[in-house]
Amino acid sequence: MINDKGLLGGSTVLMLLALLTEEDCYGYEIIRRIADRSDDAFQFKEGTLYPVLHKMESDGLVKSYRKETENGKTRTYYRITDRGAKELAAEREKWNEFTNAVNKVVRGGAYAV
Amino acid sequence: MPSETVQNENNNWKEYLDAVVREVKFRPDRADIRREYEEHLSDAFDALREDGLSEDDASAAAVSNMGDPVEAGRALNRSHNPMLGWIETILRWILIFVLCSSFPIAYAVIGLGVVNTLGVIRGYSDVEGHGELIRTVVVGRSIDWDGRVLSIDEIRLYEDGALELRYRSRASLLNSGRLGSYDLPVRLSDENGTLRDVSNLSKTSGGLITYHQFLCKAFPPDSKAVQIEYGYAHLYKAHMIRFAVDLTATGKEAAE
Repeated sequence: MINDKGLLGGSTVLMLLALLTEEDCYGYEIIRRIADRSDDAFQFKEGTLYPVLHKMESDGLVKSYRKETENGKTRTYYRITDRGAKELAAEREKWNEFTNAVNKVVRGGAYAV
Repeated sequence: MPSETVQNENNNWKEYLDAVVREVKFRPDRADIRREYEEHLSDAFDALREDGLSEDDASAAAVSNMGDPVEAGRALNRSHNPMLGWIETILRWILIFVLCSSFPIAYAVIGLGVVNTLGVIRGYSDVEGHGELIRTVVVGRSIDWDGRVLSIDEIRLYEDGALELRYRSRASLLNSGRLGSYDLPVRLSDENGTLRDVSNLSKTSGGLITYHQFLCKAFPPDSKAVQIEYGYAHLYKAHMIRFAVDLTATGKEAAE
């Protein structure tokens, strides 16, 4: 399980934007999807999700709206905005650069042994 | 002990929710935040119940999965800046004011909105001391009456034979010369036409809308109908509102 706050903190926005590109979600759905896809590797405290979402909304990356779920309950859904989509592309690029650099260092070290 | 469990669940949750929103300085945003967290708890609770946890365990786990409420609340406070929030709110109202400044009806609607936002509209209060609520007969009838609109909402029947009448009154939007409420007498009689004692239980004024509750302490049990009269019978006979409500089926209303 990865509980490191810094790591998760840095990539949370990237993960949320990526999820919301596929489909509009409400908070609880997002938690479930992240847990399912990461095989429960990411287990952050659920209450910390909303501050991130609200910050993203005030930055104009997502937009919230009320909608009924399939079960007839009304929830606050989040939709990615155009600005959010641009941010996602930029964040993805940064992420790739970062993982490539880490891989190079790690592999380089392995060859050196 | 289902009722105790629900109580416990609500207390757990209430404590958590209170702690979260307490950190948010911009008060107008608190209600939405509380609602979002409450709905999250409810979804988590349902899922944990499906996983086989008892109600108590599911309720406790839902809260503990949330983590520290103060930490979450402080983080929320950072993205709900009071200064920006107030500026945005004020700008929105100025914009609405400018756009609508030539439409009196829009004024009235905005007025209602302001009153509502300020939390002045409180609605009906619960009636206690008459045992359990046995049945609610939804009337849902609006009557335009001398520049005021009366909305007869419902009739409630209680365990000890008491009958409660709930209605709202407000100034008609097109005839808004007079505000405030009319306190005209309400008379209730049973299906045989016998007048029953009625007391004015409560009147909650919400600015333009006033909520009225009347109680008849001992209405004959198993009555099929109640006759409602509104207005001064001896003064303005033509202005009297008189109609009967069928108590046997919900929502059925007999023609006058």
